[in-house]
Amino acid sequence: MHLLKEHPPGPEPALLAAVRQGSTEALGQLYGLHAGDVYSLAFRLTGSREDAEDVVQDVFVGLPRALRAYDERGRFGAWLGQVAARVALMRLRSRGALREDALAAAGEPAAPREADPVDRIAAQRALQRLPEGLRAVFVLKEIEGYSHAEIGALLGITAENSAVRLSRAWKLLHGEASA
Amino acid sequence: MRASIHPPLDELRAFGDGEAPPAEARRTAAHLEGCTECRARLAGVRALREEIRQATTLAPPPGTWERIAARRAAGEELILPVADVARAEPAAGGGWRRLPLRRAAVLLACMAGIASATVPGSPVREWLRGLLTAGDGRAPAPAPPPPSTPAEAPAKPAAAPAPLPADAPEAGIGVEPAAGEVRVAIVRPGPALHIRVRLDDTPVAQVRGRGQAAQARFASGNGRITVTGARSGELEVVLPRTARRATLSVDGTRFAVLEEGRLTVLAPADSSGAELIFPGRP
Repeated sequence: MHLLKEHPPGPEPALLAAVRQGSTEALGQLYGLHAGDVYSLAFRLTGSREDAEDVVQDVFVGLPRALRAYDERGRFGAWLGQVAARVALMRLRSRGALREDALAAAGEPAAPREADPVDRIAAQRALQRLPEGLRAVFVLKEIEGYSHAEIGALLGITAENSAVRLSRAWKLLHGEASA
Repeated sequence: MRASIHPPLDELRAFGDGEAPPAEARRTAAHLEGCTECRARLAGVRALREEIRQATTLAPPPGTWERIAARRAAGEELILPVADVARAEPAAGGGWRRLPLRRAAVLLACMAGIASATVPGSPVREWLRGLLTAGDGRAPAPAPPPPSTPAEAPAKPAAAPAPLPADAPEAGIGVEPAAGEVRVAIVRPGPALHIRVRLDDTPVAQVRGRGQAAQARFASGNGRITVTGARSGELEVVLPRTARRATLSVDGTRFAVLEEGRLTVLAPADSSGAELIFPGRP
């Protein structure tokens, strides 16, 4: 898994220990190191800046307690990414956004067209316009590097269904991006 | 393969990501060698992916950290959906897995309490209170035989909930008492939701949802936890024994009140086996 893979090596164990013990200053340092990654991931998954900020807030409010479950064997950024993804997906689930019937609203995918140059805003919009269930798979697979099996475990779907959703997401994205 | 038979986009992507099965990879590679159009398609996939990644790499809005710090300063705590939270973080004073005897005793006490709750003056109530107020972390004394008269029996036996798988999703939230008081409100629960309540020596009230209940909306602040939309699965409510007062309410109806270490059960509950179950809707 390659969550937040471009982030530099994780924080010092002493910093994590201080956060576990409730140090707000240490938590602030950790926020400075990782908040951007968490916010970006949450924005990609939820498609909403407001939801993304809520996810960042919840993650860092709960981090001191959650760190007790982090054994420091894996990379901290990857672990934090998993936590952030779960929080964001919980938010989507609470809206019923990941249900199969919600995906049906996507309609027929646009005819695949190859990528034209797209600007930043268009790329954001293209991702935002994907139905949440397709967007989650696209983000986790194509941006965050999860396998279909890992995505299936996170979303409660099969790996095969994850692959199908990714295929639909790509087809819709091509239509969106080149529209 | 003739260059005119272009592979589908999914096959191109799989090839580009090194995920195509060997035979398909050989076929696609051979096609790409002679097809500039498909090479451009594959490059377009990579470019679009990178474009989206860069376009969605953002910084949190100003003031986010200040809002986090304020929530922490207000005593808010969240139990994040980390897969191994329950194993790595047993509640202070002992969790279910670590103190099964205590758990069984508390559950038995709660079951008897429910039976006695509708019978004012029942001697079981005082026994129950003594059991629940022990609070020293040791297993309480052996419980007397549960009452068996019709008046003291639960009004409506129910089937025990199906056990959730060990890897069932889990999420929750915690909050410290405000002025010694904690309120746990469960709003719009589903009929299949099971609610378990226990006391603990933890200073923080906690609510954990498992199964579908992990998808509910958890919120906390100022000594209050609100769980909205838990339709099924189970909610585990942990009330701090040291709280001056703690209440559990479901859709505005008080189900349990803890005062000065004494738990009073105010709503009938169904039970079977060793589990105490508050139905989400009375």
